[in-house]
Order: sequence, then structure tokens, then C-alpha cells
Amino acid sequence: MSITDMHQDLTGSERIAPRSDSPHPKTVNTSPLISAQKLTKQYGAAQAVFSNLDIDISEGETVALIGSNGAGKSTLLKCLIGLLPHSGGQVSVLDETFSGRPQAAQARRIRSDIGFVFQKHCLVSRATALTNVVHGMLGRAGSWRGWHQAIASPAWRQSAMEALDSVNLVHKANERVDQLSGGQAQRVAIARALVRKPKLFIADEPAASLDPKSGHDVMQRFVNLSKKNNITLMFTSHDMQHALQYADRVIALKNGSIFLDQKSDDLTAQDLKGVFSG
Amino acid sequence: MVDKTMNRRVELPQLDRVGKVSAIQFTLWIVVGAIIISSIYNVSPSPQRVAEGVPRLGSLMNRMFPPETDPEFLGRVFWRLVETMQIAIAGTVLGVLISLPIGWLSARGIAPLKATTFLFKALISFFRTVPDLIWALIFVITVGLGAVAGTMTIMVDTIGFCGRFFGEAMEDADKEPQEALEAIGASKFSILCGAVIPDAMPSLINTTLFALEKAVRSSVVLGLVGAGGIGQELKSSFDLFQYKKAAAIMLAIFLIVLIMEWVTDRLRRSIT
Repeated sequence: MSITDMHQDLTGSERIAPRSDSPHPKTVNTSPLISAQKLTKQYGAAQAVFSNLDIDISEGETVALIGSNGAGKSTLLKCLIGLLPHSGGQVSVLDETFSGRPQAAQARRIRSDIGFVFQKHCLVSRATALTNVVHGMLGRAGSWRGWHQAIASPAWRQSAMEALDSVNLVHKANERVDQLSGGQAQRVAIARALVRKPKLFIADEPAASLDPKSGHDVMQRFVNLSKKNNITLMFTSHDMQHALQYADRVIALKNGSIFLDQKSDDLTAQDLKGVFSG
Repeated sequence: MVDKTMNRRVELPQLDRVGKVSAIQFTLWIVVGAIIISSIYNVSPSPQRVAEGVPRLGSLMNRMFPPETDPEFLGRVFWRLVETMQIAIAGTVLGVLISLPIGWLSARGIAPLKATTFLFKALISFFRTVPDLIWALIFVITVGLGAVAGTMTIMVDTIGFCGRFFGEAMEDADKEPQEALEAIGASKFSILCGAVIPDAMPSLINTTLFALEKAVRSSVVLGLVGAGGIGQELKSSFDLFQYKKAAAIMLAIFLIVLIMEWVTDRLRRSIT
């Protein structure tokens, strides 16, 4: 199934709407995609960033990981997918189980099914939007064709154009990324993650570098795409509104432990205030 | 000073006008000063020698002008200039092509193996520190007189120049896209081709254009040691006291270097 088939109804401009108006109801599959037991991360002899965390993320879930600056959100995200080695416990992600750091072959298998979106768009600014989306194919067999859109296979170019279409940026395909606005660049980054047809989206503060309107626009598109394609989405945020509006479930980190792990429907902004208070 | 908001006197710290100088720093300054003064004293031209040289310069100029305009001679100069440009272009292109992988292998944080960075940095330094005329002498001995020795000289000289700056440009390339591609499992080589080179491209082109300018200037003098090009013609003119011919060649060289600088300057401005 092509990406176009999957997202054909997302190409139009989408207004920021309350979650209750979302065309994609919160249907959550119960099979765990990520499972961490007694997960601990410590740098040298320093105090542990977090310790003995037990987390299960089901397939199709949209999970917001929140906490104040330095709470260990990004570190936890990286540990869960093996980008950073953890100090104790065990992680199972995408049917791969590891302690510490995944083996090279394991890491490749895990990464091939993950689409990443970072706080800053992390695109090659002098390359076009299309080339940046084609870059999403790097790490696959024959990936030298992912260096530039001009040498990409017709199928990859088609997939990249469809991914751009799904974030409503086909008209910007041939524009250099440094000519795009922050919100548009972040949408290109989402298209780059999407073109891999991942099972899991990992997003580290995807809207933090954007103004509020662009931030909501990016989050809305991102969550819609995830839901539509049954891609599990795990994102970090320090924005309570984003966590409540776009996530099915909110996990809050505080003082190295899970302070709160609840369905977002059961939460109010008042509940989350304790996460950020001293 | 009186703090207006609090209405009380605030004691401000007294800062030194000049930072403290350690004994080692002071000694180093003295040593550097001594080296500069002794260098100027020993090998700089004295006013007397400059004064004595002026009439001789006037005499040389008198014998140089008007420059030679014999069409047969000018035709020979033209083809020698073409050969000079060919040496510069071929040497630069080959040097740049070899500099790219060498620069990559020497770039910290970009090279596939940490151990190679030191080795290739050392190799590039070696190429750079040996002057081009010495390389020319070596290649004249190894591959014989003529343009091939000149091309090889320019190539090695370009590797010394471009290898260093290419490596530095790659090290300075934006790290975030590299980390993003690394996260999705891209190989070091794919990261180089997909993220590092596009980001470093203006710097790579700039360095290449400077290398070409430098190569044109170098290829002019390589002929003095038999490595082909216009320099060979210039040397024989001076050796045979044919100063009018030498003047014509020098004017031609001046023109070609000027045109080259103008072209590369325009290219640089259009790219960056």
C-alpha cells in the first residue's frame, strides 16, 4: 500500500481542532511495542538520571513523555530505542530485546522500523525538501541512492513525493530547506520519518522550536499521520497542552521516577502542574 | 558609586588594565622579539644596498622595454601558456579528487576510523610543508622533464592545500543532520555524501578555486626547474639575456593570472 493510499485524506489544510473532533478515534492495540523493565540510566558515579522504570507502550498508542528540563525525557527516549546504552534493566522494542546496548545487527533492525523527528528539524539545509525526504531511505539496502533525489530510484522518489504530499508540501519539493519556514522544515522532517514506513515514530520535542500556531499545526499533522497509519508515536514535550491534546497517554518523569502514567482523557492541566513544581 | 535604587554605596571591584603576565609568557615575548629583530638585522636590505640597486633596475627595465612582439615568438608563448593552464587545471582536478577522500579520512568525528585521522593529517602536512619547487625537482628526476612532472607537482601541492581545508570544512559541517541520519542507521559514507558534502559545498568550492588560482601561479614557475609550462621559456630568455622576450612573457603571465583571479572571484561570488 502506498503512502498516498494511506494518507489521501490528509493532504488538505488541517485546522487545529480539539482532540474530540479528530477523525481518528483513539483505538489502541494492546500488543506491547516497547517494554522496559527496571530501566536505569546513570552517567559514571553521578546520581542516576532515572532508575527502575517499568514502561509498556502498546502498538498504535500515542504517548507523551513530559517532565521539566533535565528530567531525563530525551535520555529515556534514546535508551528505549538503544541510541543510548542504559545502565540497568532490560528493553524490548520492535521484537528485539537487549540489555545495555543492542548489538550492531539488532540496532540496524530496530532503526529500520523507526522514524525520528527531532527538536530542530535536523535537515540538510542546503539540500531540497525532496532530497531530505529521500535521505529517509538511508540505512536501507542500496542506500547510496538515498544520497540525493537525482540518483534515487523511481520508487523512492515516488514514496518521497507521497510523503511530502501527506504533509502538504509537494509544491515545496524542489525548494532548499533553508528557504522554508520553521514549521515547513519540521513537516519535511516528518515526511523524512514517514517515508521509511516505520512502525514507531520517535519525536524529541518536535514542536519546541516553533511558534505556538506552527507547533500545533505540526503536532496535529504528526498525530493524524500516526493514527491513520497505526504508527506508534512517542514524543517528549514540556508543553502540557500538547501532551493533553495530542497524546492518548501521558507519562511524566520527575526526580528519576515515573511521577504519573495515565490516559490523557483522565487528566487535566491541573494534574500536570505537579510535574513541573519543585 | 551610589546605588540609586537602594540608596547605598556599592564597592565595585578594581580590575587590572592589563592581564597578569607569567614569567614564562614574559620570556616567550622576549625570545620572539629577539628573533624578529635579529632576522631584520641579518637579512633585510640595507638602505645603501637598495640605493645601489635602483640604477641597475633602471638599466634592466631599459633592456626589457619595449617587450618582444615577434608573431612567431608570441605564438610560441601562447602555446606555452596553454600548456601552463593545462598543468594547473589537470593538477588541480586530480589533486581535488584525491583530497576529498583524504580530507574525509583526516576529519575528526567524520572519518570512519578514529585512528586514520592522525595518519592522514600527518600525510597532508607532509605534502604541504615540502615546497612545490622541491616536489618539481623530485618529479623531474622520477618522470623526466616536461609537463607531466609539473602536473604531478601541482597535484601533490593541491592535496596538501585542499586536503587540510576539505578536512576542516567537513569537521565544521552542521552536526544535527549527521546525527539524524546516523540515528536511522545511515553508514558513515552515506552521511558524508548525503549530509556533510552538501553542507560543506560552498567551502569546498571556495577552496578548490583558491587552489586553482594558486596552481596557475605555481605552474608558471615550475618551468624554472624543467617541469614544463611558460616558466621554461622565461628561464631560457633570462639565461640568454633576451630581456625583451622575458618582458613579453612576464606580461603574458601577469595577464593570465589576472584573468584567472577575476574568473575565480566571479565564480566564488556566484556560488556563496
